[in-house]
Amino acid sequence: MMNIKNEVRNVLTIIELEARRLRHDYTDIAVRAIQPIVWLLVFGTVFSKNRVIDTGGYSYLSFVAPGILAQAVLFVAIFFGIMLVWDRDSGNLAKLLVAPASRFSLVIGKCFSASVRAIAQAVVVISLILMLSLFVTDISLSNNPVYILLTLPVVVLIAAVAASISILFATIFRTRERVMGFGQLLTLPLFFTSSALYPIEIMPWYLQWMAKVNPLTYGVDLLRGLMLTGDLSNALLDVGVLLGFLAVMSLACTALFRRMME
Amino acid sequence: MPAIEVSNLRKRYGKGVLAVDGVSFGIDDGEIFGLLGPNGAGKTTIIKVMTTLLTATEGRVTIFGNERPRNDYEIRNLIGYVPQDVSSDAALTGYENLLISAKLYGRGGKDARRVSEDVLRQLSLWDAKDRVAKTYSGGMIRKLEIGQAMVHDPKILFLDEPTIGLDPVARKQVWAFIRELKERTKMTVIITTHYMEEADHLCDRIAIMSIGKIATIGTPAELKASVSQGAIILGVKGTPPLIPNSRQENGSLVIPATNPARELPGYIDLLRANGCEILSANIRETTLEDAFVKYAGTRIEEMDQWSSVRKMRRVARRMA
Repeated sequence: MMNIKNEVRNVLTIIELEARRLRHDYTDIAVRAIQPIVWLLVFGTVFSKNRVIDTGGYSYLSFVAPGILAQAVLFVAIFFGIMLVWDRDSGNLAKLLVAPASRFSLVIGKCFSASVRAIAQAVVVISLILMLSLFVTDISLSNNPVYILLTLPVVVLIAAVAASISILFATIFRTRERVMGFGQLLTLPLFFTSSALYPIEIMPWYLQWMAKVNPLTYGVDLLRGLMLTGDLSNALLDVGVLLGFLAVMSLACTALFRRMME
Repeated sequence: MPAIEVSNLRKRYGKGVLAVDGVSFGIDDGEIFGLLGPNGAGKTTIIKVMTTLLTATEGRVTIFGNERPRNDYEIRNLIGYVPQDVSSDAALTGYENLLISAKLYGRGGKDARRVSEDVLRQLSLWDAKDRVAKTYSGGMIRKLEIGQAMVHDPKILFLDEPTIGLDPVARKQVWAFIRELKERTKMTVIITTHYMEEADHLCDRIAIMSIGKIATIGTPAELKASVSQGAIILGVKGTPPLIPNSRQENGSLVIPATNPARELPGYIDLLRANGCEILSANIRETTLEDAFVKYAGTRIEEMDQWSSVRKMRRVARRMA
């Protein structure tokens, strides 16, 4: 019979697979690093200069930097389901499914595989943001290295949650085109109804309500606390919501996973 | 104990087609068993049910006494599976592919490294171990995939269209490799194919499938004997004596024969003794294809659907 130790090893093996894939081809990470910088330097600068949005005592550029990081992570992970469909269309997924591993550990392993890519992406983006903060006076972030390092586990969690949504799409829609389409459909609403670009308080009530059920809001809250404000009073709630969301989504994926082979 | 027992297996996809329609057969421990049939006959579906990838709509499947789906976990430890599509990770090296497979089958770090290295040597892929799999030739990828399916010493190996998309030389190499593997490990091998030559060459027993059902099961020799399309075709000058069942066809004398090569000299003697001159002599052996046409009811090319042709070409392109 299966046991916990085996299942943990299976999860780690699937993550290792992704890390090895990434090691052989990381152009994706380099190319994707450009977009967040454009967001920050163009969008961020314009909004910052005009003081359109009340961001408390912080410059808009500083306020939006953690949001841009969250966006970069979201974009890496939200299309992860397409890779799963690709794995299904080649024989890769079949090979995983005939191995003695539970469907749940496969799903969890795949969710955190997205985190592997997201971490690589985050390291690049955070480094670029920190470098920019040396030259651009409008960006001043936390100078506590422990807090900056702590953003990485948060990145892991945000990526796993976004990937779980994407994998659920993959198990439901099953073709690359549809998973791509629904990923596109979801990305911007998730991004815009979170606190990534502006504080929740300035949104109309119905968008505030959407922001509260949007897992990205909780991820951004953690990142902003660590990178900017140092305010971690909501940290437990944030982590709890993200973990809860991941648990529910991955259980749903597990239940639907056999659909992938039908 | 038989390796596999399947009884009354039915599989319906959603509310749509009945891909497998009441199939029963047994496979003995240690034999190479072939599922032969045109595309869409249900071969791959049966393989997917036996390898725990699909759940049957009806029927009973046991692997060394372990019943599906109750004992799926035990079954997965007993079997290795090489799918029709390329299953090695193209972005990883041969060594890494094996390492990941070994770990998925419960081998620890050091053990996994040792097994991966052993398998690379057995496959004669040692020199290519640090190259990414996308640089491998089609034959090398197939060998690597089979190696990946064998890191846990399975008792049964499933090969779904093992030589699809390979050129004739690579195909012969893969055949030799499968047979050598079978000799060494004594394991049971189940192959699906729609290449007659492959089934004839590799399999101890063959089941010919047609639209979701098994039309017949037997050894290649039995299947051929059951159709007997063999004939001796002679160009003759003069009036031949009366030979039972013989006929004239395009100016030649056609004599049906179960074993035409061996019967030919006798007929030449007979005709010469009757004052005939032999202008030409040909024989036609019974092939597995004759058996296939009889039991599957169609020539394989006529069954090819556009989707399967496209799929096959895609595989071929990726493996080139």
